[in-house]
Amino acid sequence: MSLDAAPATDVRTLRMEAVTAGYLKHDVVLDEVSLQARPGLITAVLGPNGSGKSTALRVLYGFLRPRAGRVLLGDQDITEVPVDRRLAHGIAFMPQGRSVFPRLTVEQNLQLAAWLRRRRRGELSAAVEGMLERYPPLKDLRRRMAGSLSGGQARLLEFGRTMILDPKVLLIDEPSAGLAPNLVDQVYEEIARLKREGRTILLVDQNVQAAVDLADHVYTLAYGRNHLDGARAEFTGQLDHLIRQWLRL
Amino acid sequence: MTQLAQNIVNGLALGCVYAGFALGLSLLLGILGIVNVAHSAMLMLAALVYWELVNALGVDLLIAIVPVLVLFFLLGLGLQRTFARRMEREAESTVLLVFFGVMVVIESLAVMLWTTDTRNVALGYLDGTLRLGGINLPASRLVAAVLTLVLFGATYVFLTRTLVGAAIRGLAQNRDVAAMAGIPVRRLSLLVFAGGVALAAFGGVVLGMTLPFSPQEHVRWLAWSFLIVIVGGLGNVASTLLAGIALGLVEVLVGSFLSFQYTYLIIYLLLAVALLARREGLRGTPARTL
Repeated sequence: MSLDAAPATDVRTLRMEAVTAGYLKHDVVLDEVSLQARPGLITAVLGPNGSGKSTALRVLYGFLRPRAGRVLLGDQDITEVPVDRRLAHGIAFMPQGRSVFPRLTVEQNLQLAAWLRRRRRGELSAAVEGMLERYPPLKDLRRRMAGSLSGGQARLLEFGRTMILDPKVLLIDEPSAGLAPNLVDQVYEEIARLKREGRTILLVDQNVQAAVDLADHVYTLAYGRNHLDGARAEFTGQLDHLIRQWLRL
Repeated sequence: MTQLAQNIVNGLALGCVYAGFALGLSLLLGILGIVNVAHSAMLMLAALVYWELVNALGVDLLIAIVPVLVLFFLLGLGLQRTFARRMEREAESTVLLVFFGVMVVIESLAVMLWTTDTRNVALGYLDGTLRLGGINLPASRLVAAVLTLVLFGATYVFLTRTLVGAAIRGLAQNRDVAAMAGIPVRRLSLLVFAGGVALAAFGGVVLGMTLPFSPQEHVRWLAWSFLIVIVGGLGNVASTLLAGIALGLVEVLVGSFLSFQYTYLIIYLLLAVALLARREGLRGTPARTL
């Protein structure tokens, strides 16, 4: 698929424009960073530790307010939209590490993930069943406490939680971190499927090789600034060079 | 033998009342992580309002419960809106100090309005004693115990069988994930806080129904409530009830062979042991599944 597949104003295009952000008063974790993720494409954001990748996701999902710059979904400015209103805009976030309710069952986790359908119970149940169909191993686990799941099972539940309301835009942070090697491939296969479904995917990953293999467009960050930016083809040959460069940073 | 049975019945009834004291504290701590040291002051204030309604205005004992709970729910909304919401990102010690301040304000207000006199709610038609096979139980205490059991049952069903209840438990387990699911975490926190204050007021109502009280003698109920919360686990409805009943039984049974002042000594000792057993204090208390 060509990068020109969709115009920049497509309602499923997520953009961050010249965002400056930090956690404390004077620290600058992101310094005028701009990113764009388009529908039907996987956009990978890479960079060494501390380059601001995860912070960029936090700003994109509203966990952190930028000091300057803005976040746009299509042409709509969503910079100030609170976290709990973002899913209603069709954006979902799969953060790094565990993101389930450990002392609720798998089924209850999915029900809560479909909270926005609570006034239409039929739709809510259908959405839960839909996720159990999409991720069949969850079916036998539906009455299990999410906190007792293995890493791979919990990751499946996190995919189910993220996908249950069929979001158009997905932010994914370190999807393979902490997983057994045989599960890592399944995770990337699932992300490839999400792309084939035409979703906008912004992927942040330490696993540079896997991310570049999967990505259509790659951004790299360094010291909280935009570094490189280009189509995947421009990066495949340069991987070793890139990683070596980061180690020097 | 009859004496032992009598003591057990007394202990069970008193224990239910104690559990009623602690439920609001347990939920605020378990779900919102707020150590509401003003809990017993709210409880005492609610008892005074209840007393005012029943004794001064002549409102029916059972009907008067409704306006007390509504009033304190609204008070909770106000408190949360004005400053408790701002406490979300503050250090625990700051929150503790703020609620200590709230406690002092409530206590001072109560003393100004109602003086330091000890009060008894006029029990009216509940002023009798039920006798069954040689065992006596004051009707008011039975009613207070039954009301508490009903409230525990309702709270339990609400938290475990409804989607909003699941959302509240989810909020306690992972606030960020709850927000990502589109659950309105701020509004829900507001309602849980107000609900916790209303539950504290319920504790005040059962206090008024069962025991004499005065504006300056509420801290004992705070210690009792903390003991129940620590033993019962944070935000855990079923074991809060069991811990309350256990406390009631201990107090009555110990009191039956030791004199009054030793009872409290032993219960405070139990509190110390419970805190030591949970080595990290309240933080180490397991937030068990509801």
